[in-house]
Amino acid sequence: MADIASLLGDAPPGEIDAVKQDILEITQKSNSVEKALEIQAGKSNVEQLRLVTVAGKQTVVSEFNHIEENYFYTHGSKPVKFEINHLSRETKVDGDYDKEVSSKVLEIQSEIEEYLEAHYCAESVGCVFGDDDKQHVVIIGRKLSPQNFFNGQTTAVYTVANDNVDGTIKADVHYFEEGNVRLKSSNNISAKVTRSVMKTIASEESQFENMLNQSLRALNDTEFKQIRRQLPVTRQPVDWVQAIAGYNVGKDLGNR
Amino acid sequence: MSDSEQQQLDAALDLLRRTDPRNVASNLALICRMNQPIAEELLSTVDQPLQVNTDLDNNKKYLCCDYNRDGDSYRSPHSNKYFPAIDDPIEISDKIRQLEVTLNAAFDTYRELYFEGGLSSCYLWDQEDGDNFAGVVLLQKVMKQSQWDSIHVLEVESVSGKEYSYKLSSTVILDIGHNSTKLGGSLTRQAEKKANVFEPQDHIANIGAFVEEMENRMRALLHEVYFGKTRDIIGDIRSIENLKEVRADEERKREIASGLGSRQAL
Repeated sequence: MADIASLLGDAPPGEIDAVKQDILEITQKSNSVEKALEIQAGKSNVEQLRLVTVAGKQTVVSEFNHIEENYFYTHGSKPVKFEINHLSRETKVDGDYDKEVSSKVLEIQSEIEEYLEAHYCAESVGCVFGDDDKQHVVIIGRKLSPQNFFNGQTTAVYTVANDNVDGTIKADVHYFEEGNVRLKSSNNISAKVTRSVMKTIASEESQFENMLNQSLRALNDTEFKQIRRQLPVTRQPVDWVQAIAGYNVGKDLGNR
Repeated sequence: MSDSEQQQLDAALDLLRRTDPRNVASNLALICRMNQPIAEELLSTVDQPLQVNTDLDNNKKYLCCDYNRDGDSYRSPHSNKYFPAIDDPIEISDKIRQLEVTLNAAFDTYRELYFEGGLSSCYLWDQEDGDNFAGVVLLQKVMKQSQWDSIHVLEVESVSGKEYSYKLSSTVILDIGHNSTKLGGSLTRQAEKKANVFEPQDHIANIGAFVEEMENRMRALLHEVYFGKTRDIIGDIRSIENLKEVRADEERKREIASGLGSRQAL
């Protein structure tokens, strides 16, 4: 059961509930699969930095805002403690989170919000956690459009410490109109902070996006052209009558 | 198949449309292990990258799918024999086998022209009704980091007199990538057309031209989805340009345009 439950971890952006329903249906809702799904959901929600809604506001679940067991806290200046049901990703507020938020964290949080407004689509979310010495930045950019048969997400996670930004950015796109196409790309980022954390991240992420566009162009120009031609070298479609006749001549010769 | 099995099958198909297409073979095997009653139906419905087998009679390679399978053996288009050998295999009529031999030869030419290498195998089989038959055209090309598999399933039915209808369901599975960027997946499309047949060999030209047209269309579609659509979606999520500046620019342009407009009105 753990094997099939692990497919939950690879659900495309915005499709995790559909994947869960499918797994339940295939295994006829056995108790052991529900248990396996619960364990898997707890693991993958944190690993994949999944979004949840707490008191009407979106935040991520991650190792950075984990308190204990199923308890996490929200980002921002007035953090709230909440409990998550990992399988349904429903949350329940459990009062204010009483630890004071570091001023450095709040400073980067407001920079990130400004950055999201300038470069990301509306559904995107940015969260900063940490303390005065070390901050963790999570940026989830997402565009879900199942009615147009696609869902896409970028997931970036950075650690800011000693004037360095280190982390990873990943892109995951699912296109599924009469098919199933998936793009995955990732890149490690390590940069010295210049001017501000936000400007450093912005420049690194633009580089990643340029690199991704370049890779796609290169794949189109080389691999795709080599794997199957658009037209034969002759620039003419196949002459099927000749293709058959040519074969028949060969066969006659062979029979002689 | 019972209603509840049908629901489980639908769920399995839905799951395979959502999970990473590069893992389709292993995910399919996993689902079949979890739910054996739907396994056979699922295996015959879901397209996966084609397996290669060797015809031991002439040491030639050929492609395998559910349509040339009997138990654990696969029929070779070269010798018409099953490998590994089996007792009492399913046999096709001489007439259909003759067409099959010619179809394989014609698609060898096609494959050389479009793929410049790779493998192709075509299989035909008899249908219960008189002149009707069905078949599949398989093409594969493997490169270092990429793989193309096409599966064209055909149903040929006599309509009236010389006229035949050709129903085609085509799937192309394409994995392509380099370094940290990977694109994988499959697209499926259907089409139908009618054409005349004066002698049996006309079927070959009709099928050939139809598959060629479809595969060209699908290549264009793959091009659009893999390299255009995905890039647009990433660009929609995150803009390289500063959106605030873009919006401010647009606002300025609008003001200038409306300014010009009112001046012209004077």
